[in-house]
Amino acid sequence: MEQNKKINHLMTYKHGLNVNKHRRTTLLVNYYKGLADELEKEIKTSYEQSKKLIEELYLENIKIYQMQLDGFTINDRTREVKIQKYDQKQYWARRKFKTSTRRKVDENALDAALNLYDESQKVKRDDFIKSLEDKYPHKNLTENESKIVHQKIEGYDKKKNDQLSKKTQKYEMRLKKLESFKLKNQKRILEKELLNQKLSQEIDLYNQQVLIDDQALLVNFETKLETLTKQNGSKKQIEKIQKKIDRIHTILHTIEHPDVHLSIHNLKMYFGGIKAVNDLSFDVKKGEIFGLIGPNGAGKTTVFNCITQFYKATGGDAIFRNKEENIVDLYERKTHDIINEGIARSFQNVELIWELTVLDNLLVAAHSLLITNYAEHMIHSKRMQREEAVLRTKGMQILVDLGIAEYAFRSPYGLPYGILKKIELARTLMTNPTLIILDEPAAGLNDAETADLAKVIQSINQKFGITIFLVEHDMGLVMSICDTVCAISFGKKIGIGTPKEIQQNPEVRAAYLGDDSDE
Amino acid sequence: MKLYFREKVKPFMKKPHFGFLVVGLLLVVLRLLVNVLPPDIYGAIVTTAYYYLAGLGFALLLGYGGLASLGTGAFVGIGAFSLHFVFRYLAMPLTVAILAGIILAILVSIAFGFVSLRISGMYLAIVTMGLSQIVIEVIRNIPQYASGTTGGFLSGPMARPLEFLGMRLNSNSAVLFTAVFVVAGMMIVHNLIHSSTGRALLSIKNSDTAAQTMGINLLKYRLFAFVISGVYGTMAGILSMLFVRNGNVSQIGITFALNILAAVVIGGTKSVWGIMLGTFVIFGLDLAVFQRFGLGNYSLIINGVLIILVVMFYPGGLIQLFGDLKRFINKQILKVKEHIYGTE
Repeated sequence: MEQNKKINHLMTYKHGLNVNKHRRTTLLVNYYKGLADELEKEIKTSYEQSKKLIEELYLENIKIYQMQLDGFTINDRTREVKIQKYDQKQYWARRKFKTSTRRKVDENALDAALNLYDESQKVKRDDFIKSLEDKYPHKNLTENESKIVHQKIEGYDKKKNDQLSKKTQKYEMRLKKLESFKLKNQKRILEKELLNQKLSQEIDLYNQQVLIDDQALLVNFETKLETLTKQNGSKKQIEKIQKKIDRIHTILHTIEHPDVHLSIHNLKMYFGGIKAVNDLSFDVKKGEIFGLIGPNGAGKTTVFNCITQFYKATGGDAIFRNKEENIVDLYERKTHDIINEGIARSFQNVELIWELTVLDNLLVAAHSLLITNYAEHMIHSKRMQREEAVLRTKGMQILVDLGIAEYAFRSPYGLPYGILKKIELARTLMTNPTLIILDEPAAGLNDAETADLAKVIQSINQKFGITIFLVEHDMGLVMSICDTVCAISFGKKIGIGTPKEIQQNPEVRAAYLGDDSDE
Repeated sequence: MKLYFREKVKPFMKKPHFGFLVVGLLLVVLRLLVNVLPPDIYGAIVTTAYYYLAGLGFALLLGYGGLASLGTGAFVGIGAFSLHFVFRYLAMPLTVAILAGIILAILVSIAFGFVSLRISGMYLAIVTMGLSQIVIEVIRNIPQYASGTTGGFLSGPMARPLEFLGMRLNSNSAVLFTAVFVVAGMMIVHNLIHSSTGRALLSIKNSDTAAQTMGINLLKYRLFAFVISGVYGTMAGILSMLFVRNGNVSQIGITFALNILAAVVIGGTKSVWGIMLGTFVIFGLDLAVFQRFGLGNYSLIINGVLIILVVMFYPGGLIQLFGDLKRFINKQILKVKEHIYGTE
């Protein structure tokens, strides 16, 4: 028996490793698939860039000589520069003159004084130009000189062609290398895919084995329970076995109904003597918008925290159908592993990082998609840069989808609450979840913002096919978008059904409006 | 040549890494100018350089991880004393001594990380203070250090020169060592800050519940931040030992940890350059400036007033001062211009 347990432990451990490896390999395969294309693009753009750079440099170099050939000789050039300098000097002098005279005389006198000043300056300028023309007269190029100029241009031509041919050679070399790299890459992808297939087979096998084991255990436990009740066994033992039986029943129930996404069964959460949630059970179906409502302090957020493992529940089961369509017991997962299974959540009070831009905030959420590690982050390896670029594009795409792309590069600090809520939504979308848990998405929003948010939630639900599970106080929002509503009060379920059914449920009305026994 | 410059060098010059390289080069130039510069300024700059490393590591903990640890002194002590012990008393080569110090630091910082896993804020400061006290007490109880000081490498019966890869290191050559580590340290911290790791640390600082839902493993990142800061502190200790050639246990206690904390807070917890400034204010200003003007007796008071002023008017750190100064000067220039030339 002990040995069996140990083997089971080992098997579970190996299964966990397999699942992690499977996810990582999937990410890697995707990375490799994009890699070849990206490299090709990179090589091409760098070639184009260097070509452009060479052209620019060439034009810069031959500019003077070209001008000389066009009849604009060195003397002309010097003259031009000197006149420019003179004009600049005169501009500032005039401005100075204007300011100083404005301080002394009134408006009309100022105009007159300026006119006088301008005229005198014009004469001076003409004189200056004349003297320059005497000093640097226009001379056409002699034959010898033009020959030298031509030679120089030819030299630059040759240099440019040399550089270009070198670059082209390098480019071709790189393309050739790319071809071999592509072959290698293809091989690598195939290898990884094979590995992935093997891993998923192993995972399937394990799951089947667990299912068979569970069914055997169920029979085993049931007989045990019967004998125990007959023999009046201790209460604790009976409870223990009952718990195990319940767990297996919930798992079997989830497997039997393929449309169930999350199955909560007899969830209990006690804080000391206070029963925050007591025997709550419901199923969230795939692709629906599920609303959890209840008066203040009914334990709605506690349910969320139990699902995402912030609280370790006192009892009950939470069985989830994960990203890979496998059945997972959420109680066996750690808080930071929940997102890997495909559950993302938002918070009641917006939990964004104010020091980062909106887009960087989304990148934080993509943490579980990383394939790079610390060492690569330390040296900013190429792989990390590429990964970051990909994630940034993805984040930007999500922001565009939600219509908040204009805020991407600013800090979320000081943005209106409606936008912040949308950023939180965008953040939950970063990891391609299958289930999003929203904790009071409409809290603190006005009516227009709430209507807008409802639209966004619906579009997420339909466009990406993501199941949405929300807690909300705003009855208008819940009744308008939810497919199924579950009402709880003091930790107990008082009704579940379509919004209409809930609206007509007398118990729900009593919980919300107080117990009116008169009517 | 020109093409190469435009293609490769110019884009690199725009990167922040170029600035870090310049810092390294300046340190190398400093080494060459050792006979020209007054020794107090030289000493102040070198001291700033190696304690800057400790500050950088600590900034990753405080500014990004939000973990206010007071254990930096312990790591500097581990660096200095383990280097000395392994080199002098175990008679190992210098490289081995340095590596031993770093490995020891990693182990101790992992212990720090584990102990402080579930606590934060004030309590973390107290716990790390206690841990660092334990480390210092352990150092003090090694018989060779019973007097509280290391005697240096070159004195005593077993004196032998410091050699690294066949190169003989005198006290001033250690500056080259410092240059290499400072550049590497700056680059690594800058890269980490601008990567997923830095963002993950920030998100933990912001809210650890939100960080966990995003798949960030608290334990992993806390340990990582502690290890990095521990290794940086140890490097600071090792470099200080190579330069000063002796150490004192009383130097690495709580005062040192508080000094580093002050340096990081004054400079600006999130800026690589700000920390450099802050470290200079704390460790170098006294030697380089106050004592020159005969204010050595008042240096503690002046430093205190300076810290108060900075915290009051520049809560983001001294690094803000530069931006403000630049803006102020530009404004003044514009004003003068307007006075002389008038508006358009």
